[in-house]
Amino acid sequence: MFFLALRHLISRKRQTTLTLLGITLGAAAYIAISAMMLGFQEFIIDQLVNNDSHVRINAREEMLNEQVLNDSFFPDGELVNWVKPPMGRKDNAYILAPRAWLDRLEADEKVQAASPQLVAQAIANYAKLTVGVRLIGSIPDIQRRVSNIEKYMLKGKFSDIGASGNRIVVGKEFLDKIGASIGESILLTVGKSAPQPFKIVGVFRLGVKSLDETTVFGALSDVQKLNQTPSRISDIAIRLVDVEQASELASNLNLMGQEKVQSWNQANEGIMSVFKTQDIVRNSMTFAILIVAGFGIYNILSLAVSHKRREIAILRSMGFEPRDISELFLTQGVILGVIGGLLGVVIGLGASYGMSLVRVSEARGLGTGQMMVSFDGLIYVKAFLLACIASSVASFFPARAAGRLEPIDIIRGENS
Amino acid sequence: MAIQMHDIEKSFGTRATKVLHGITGEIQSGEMVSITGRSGSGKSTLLYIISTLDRPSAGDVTIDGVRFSAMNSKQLHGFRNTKMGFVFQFHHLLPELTALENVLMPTLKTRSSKTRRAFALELLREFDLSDKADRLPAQLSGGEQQRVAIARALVMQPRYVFADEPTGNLDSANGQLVMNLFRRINHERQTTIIYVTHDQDFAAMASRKIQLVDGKLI
Repeated sequence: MFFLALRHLISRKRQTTLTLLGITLGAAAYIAISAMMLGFQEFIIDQLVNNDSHVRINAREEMLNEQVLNDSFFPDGELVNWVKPPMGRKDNAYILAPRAWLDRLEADEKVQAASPQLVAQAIANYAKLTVGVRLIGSIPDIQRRVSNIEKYMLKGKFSDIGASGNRIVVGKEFLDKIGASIGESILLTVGKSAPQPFKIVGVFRLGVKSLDETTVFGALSDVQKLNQTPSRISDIAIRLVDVEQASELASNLNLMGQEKVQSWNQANEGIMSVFKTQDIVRNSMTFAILIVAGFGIYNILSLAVSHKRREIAILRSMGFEPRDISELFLTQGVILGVIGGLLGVVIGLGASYGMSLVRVSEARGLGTGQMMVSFDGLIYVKAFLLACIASSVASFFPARAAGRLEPIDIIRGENS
Repeated sequence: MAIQMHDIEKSFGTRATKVLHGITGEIQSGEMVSITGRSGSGKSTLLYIISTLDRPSAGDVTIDGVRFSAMNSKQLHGFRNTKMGFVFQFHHLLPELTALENVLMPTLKTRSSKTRRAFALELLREFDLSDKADRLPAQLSGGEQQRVAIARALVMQPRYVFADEPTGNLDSANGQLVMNLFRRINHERQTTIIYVTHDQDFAAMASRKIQLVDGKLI
């Protein structure tokens, strides 16, 4: 029946071309939209996962209130009247038993590396400019294993920070903003002591403007000294062997201490929900396109069935069974689906490649400043399968109707 | 081996208009039988019932000792494919296929196109169509199309050929040509030919005539 199905399609050139166009565009649109959206998602997730950490342990911020102080100072339950009730945050937040955490993480085989950090809000000063920054103190050799920061270095090496010596690595946007250049020193302060000079030894660009504008990496001991909190840390950034286990591990670790443990996806729930919405929009758009293409196939094949009634009658009189007749029309749908799907994949691939060459603002680009496009093979497989399934389903009904036609009814209809 | 009709009746519609009334008879293997009658006498209906395309309202048809009503769909379609050939008034060629491909169409069912290709070409040659084998139906005359349809009915070397007004759409010269072909097939291949016609001259070419009047045999 394949041979005859093919001939039928070839004989209806215009209809076949139009239907193919519908399926092809549907599949190509799915690929192009997915490539763009997933490219962007992959980029952002890469930023979230690899530039920070898979799991982060944070010191929990504690707020002061009457109850907390009453319990500490008047444990016997005396009645206390506060003239001005206590309020506000309890000093800076620190991880209480960092060694215990680090030992536990080191022993865990799911953990690839755990980097202790002291994160402080600081003020950077260069010439007459003052800029607020997020100063991250870490041990460079461990930090390198937790995040991909090394990959995003434009100048210098991340390890140039060293163990101490007031050397820092800063974001490109920050450097541009402040007007300093590599090798120069800027003044940093956390507001507790006199500003200290730090020498810029490297520049990175993560591609996220807000991070590149405000992030400054320094040595853990230097930041501790600047913050006047020797040997204290506020965060532990963890890299796992398998990123998929992040949520599970975070939930387990959460039970082990009073610190807050969050996996990358828990910490960025807002972004993840935006991605989910994007996925829903993307899938429903594709669904709509394929439904339109599917209706096209349905209409064209239904028309073909009514035009080919005589031929159906003659085929049945030759001994072709109802199943063969259904197969004849179903095959046409499948051929359209397969060819349309394949063409869609080719066009989609071309469109994705074209999009990947489009220059976008440097903040969204990575290094080259080009649009992030996903070439994930699964997109192409999905597009192809969607085209095939949509056209098979759409051709099923006309095919079934064709199979149910009785030759004698057709012949009698012709003669009467 | 023969076709036996046992008390066949056929009614149409909800008010049950009877078209055939208790037809009983036998068609022997190798016969050439014409079914004649006025318009509305039920001749085409009878042809379609004995050729398995239609089912009688009552009674039964037996072909080669097998009762129709006892056949399942697969047996019935297998029987049509290998034992029967059909020729219709409006030749019904598949317009997308060439003459040769049309002739070979029934062979697709049994995947015997390759083995029967030589025979199909021989039929076309016999019917004076060898130079038209690669033409599409639209490029053939009415007479040529009907000859292709006859070749198609014969390609599986069936025991029976059923024809409904095979000359109805042809001029008299082409009609005569077609009838001569049927007679030759009947003589040379011993194929049983059963055809419906309202042309008395063509009906007379049969070895036996079945005449219907108001759905009854006379």
